[in-house]
Amino acid sequence: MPHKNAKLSVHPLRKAYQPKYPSYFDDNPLEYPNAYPYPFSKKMLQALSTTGFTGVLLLSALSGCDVPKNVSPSPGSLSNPFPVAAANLPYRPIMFGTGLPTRIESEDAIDFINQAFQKEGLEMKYDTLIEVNGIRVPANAYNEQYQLGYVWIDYLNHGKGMAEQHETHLSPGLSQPKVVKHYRQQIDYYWQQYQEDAAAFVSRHIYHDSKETEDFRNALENKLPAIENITKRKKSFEEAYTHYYIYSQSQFNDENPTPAVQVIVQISDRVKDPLEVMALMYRFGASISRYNRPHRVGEAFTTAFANELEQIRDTKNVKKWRNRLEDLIGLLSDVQYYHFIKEGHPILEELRHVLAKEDWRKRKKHASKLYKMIDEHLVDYSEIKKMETLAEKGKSFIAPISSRDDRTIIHRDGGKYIPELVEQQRDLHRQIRAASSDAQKDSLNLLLEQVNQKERALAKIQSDSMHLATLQRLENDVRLYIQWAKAQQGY
Amino acid sequence: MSREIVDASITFLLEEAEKRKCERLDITFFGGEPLLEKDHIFYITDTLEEKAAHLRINYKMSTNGTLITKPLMAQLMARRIFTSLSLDGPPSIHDKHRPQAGGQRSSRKAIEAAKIMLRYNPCTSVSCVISPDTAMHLADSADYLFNLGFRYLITTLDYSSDWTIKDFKTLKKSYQQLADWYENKMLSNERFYLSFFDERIRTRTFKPITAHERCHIGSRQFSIAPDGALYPCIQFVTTEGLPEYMIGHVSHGFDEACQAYITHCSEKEKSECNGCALEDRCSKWCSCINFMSTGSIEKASPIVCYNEQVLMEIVDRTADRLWKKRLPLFIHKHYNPDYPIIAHMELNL
Repeated sequence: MPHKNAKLSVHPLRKAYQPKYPSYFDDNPLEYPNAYPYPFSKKMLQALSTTGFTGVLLLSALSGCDVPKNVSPSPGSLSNPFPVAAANLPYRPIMFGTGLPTRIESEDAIDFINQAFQKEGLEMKYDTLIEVNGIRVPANAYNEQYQLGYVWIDYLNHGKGMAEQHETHLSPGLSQPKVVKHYRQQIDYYWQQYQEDAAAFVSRHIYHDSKETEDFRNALENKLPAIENITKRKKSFEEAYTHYYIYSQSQFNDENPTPAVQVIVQISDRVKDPLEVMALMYRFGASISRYNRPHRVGEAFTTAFANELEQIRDTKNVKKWRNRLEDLIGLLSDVQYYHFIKEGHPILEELRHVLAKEDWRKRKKHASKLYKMIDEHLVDYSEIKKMETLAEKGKSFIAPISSRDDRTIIHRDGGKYIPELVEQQRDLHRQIRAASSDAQKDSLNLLLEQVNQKERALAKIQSDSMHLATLQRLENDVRLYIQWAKAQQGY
Repeated sequence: MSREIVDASITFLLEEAEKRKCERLDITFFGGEPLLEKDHIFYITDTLEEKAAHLRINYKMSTNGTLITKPLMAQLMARRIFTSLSLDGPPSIHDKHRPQAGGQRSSRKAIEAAKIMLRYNPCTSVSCVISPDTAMHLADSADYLFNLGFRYLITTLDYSSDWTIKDFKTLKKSYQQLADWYENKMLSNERFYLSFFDERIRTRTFKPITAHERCHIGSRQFSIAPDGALYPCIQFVTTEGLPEYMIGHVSHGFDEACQAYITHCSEKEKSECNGCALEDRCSKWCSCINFMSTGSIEKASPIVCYNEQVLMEIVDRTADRLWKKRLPLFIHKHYNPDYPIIAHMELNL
């Protein structure tokens, strides 16, 4: 640059900043498919609402663009329609219950989302593993040029952090100390219940016949009340409860125990502390439960699995036995996603290969391929958070579209009914009640069935249209996402 | 200007309009302070209303505000004389370059005038001139004027000042502050016009203007001096008189050879600008500014050159940020031909 005091002179600029907003020669953005409504000021909107229809018409003629159908201001500007907050993740699994909303099927959702990308003129790579800016996710579709795509997230690929467990829930994969703590809290809670009302506690917890049950009942009703010292009484309660809990399990009465049952029994023999026993038994049982189904996992895996359990059972050194057991629990818990545990699934196949390796101490090394495969199938919560951050920074745009997003709910509009049909049904019911013969009733019932069929058909049409509307709304939002993503990149 | 010259000017205008088959006239009263001759102004407008009812005439004027009163404003409004105010910013800025004849500060009267003018016409524009010594306060001045109620801010540099490169460094920082201000106002859905920014965005979003379509200095646009002499533009009307730029007189009409020469000079390619990446967007075509800056209408103004290079990138980056967000106000402001009308209606509510 010339000296600050040098006389100014005209000097052509060789290279200028190239702006990205549309020029006169580009398409007018007001003619884009999603036209942007005029952002009327609050004063204008108030005036519109008081001047009424005429005012609105006038404005329509002048503006040459869409007039808002109501007077509430529209958000207008582009933003990310799929923030992580919209995904409703992590979710809390519900074991039972009615009244859950009906949602669109994943297949349908994916079809419509893919359609959105096509309508935006993008060539996509489908079902591809993408590794970009530090994340590896199984993308349903991805365009490299715009670094733009999406991941459909549902139960099939929920990874770490996607499910939120209640603090009292014991999920597979929990560590020994955490499970011990759980049982400790449970015993403390039961102790309090017993203290408040011993008889009620007995009737609540003692409900089947066995030697262990009788011993526990005897302890609760006779032995404990005789102990004056409260601390000693509590310790006695804990011993009685843990003994009852462990030995009342059916495995101890199994006449032909499987290797899995034999290992469970070994736990009670080889681990001293009762709470540790309870915890380890639970963890082992929880980790193997899904694999202990030969019809599901197939013969080859069942054989490899049984072989591993036998090896554990036959390990004499307690320390080595414990280590190998923990290793197996850890491995099986990491692959505990139900849909992987199926004969023929590549992940289950790989797990079988890992189990078949002779030296179990080197399993972690052998299992690296297995973990990589799992990672490629799953999406973790931390990954979708990272996707959001990358999109905000304009580095890549992978929309995390969740099956639990509220937009997947099909709103059936409270179940509209057709008054004429309802009246016909009522009338026919009245006639049936008043009918004097079976023949008359049969004939009326036939008519009623016809009306019911008509109603079902109309309900289906309504339901289908609601279903379609939900899918189309989702598609539209995906298109907005694409436009937003392109805008962030200056296109 | 004498009454005789006024009458001769009116006659000349009507004859020219007839000759060229015009349907519309744009008449701007300028000075000094045009309101010092308000009687002439009203005489002109009343006479033209009587004699030129068939023409659509737009009247404009810029005032320093010292003579504005409510009754006067009412008269101006009744005659539809669109009046803008010259106000450079808060008093500390304005008074630096606009003292009254006796040296007193003029800001107080200007601010009072602003309030009156905005009450009568919320769409009143304000002209804010930036000098080297006030450049660092540009954003503050714009904010001050906005808070005063102005929504049409016409900002321009003082092209007659001695700008240095150091001044442009200061100005660049001010432009960046102004960009932030512009962006915040747009994001707040405010209706306003800031010429520094909106004109430059327009150079990209509107159809490129050919030299012929611009002011067409001396031909489609000309100025009548107090003595009746015709000049290409207002900047050529000085107290000394510039005979070399005279293109006629109201008494005998245009000197066509001189007129053609002036037009030719102003539309000539500026070779010093060849190959410039901003050539299509730069305001180097304004002969007025070139004349003020260089003393010649054939030479491109270095002040314009530096200013465009500094400002254009800042404006474009700001526009890009708003475009990225697809801000509806940005889109409608620059791509909806009806926006000026709608915005005008909104401001008048």
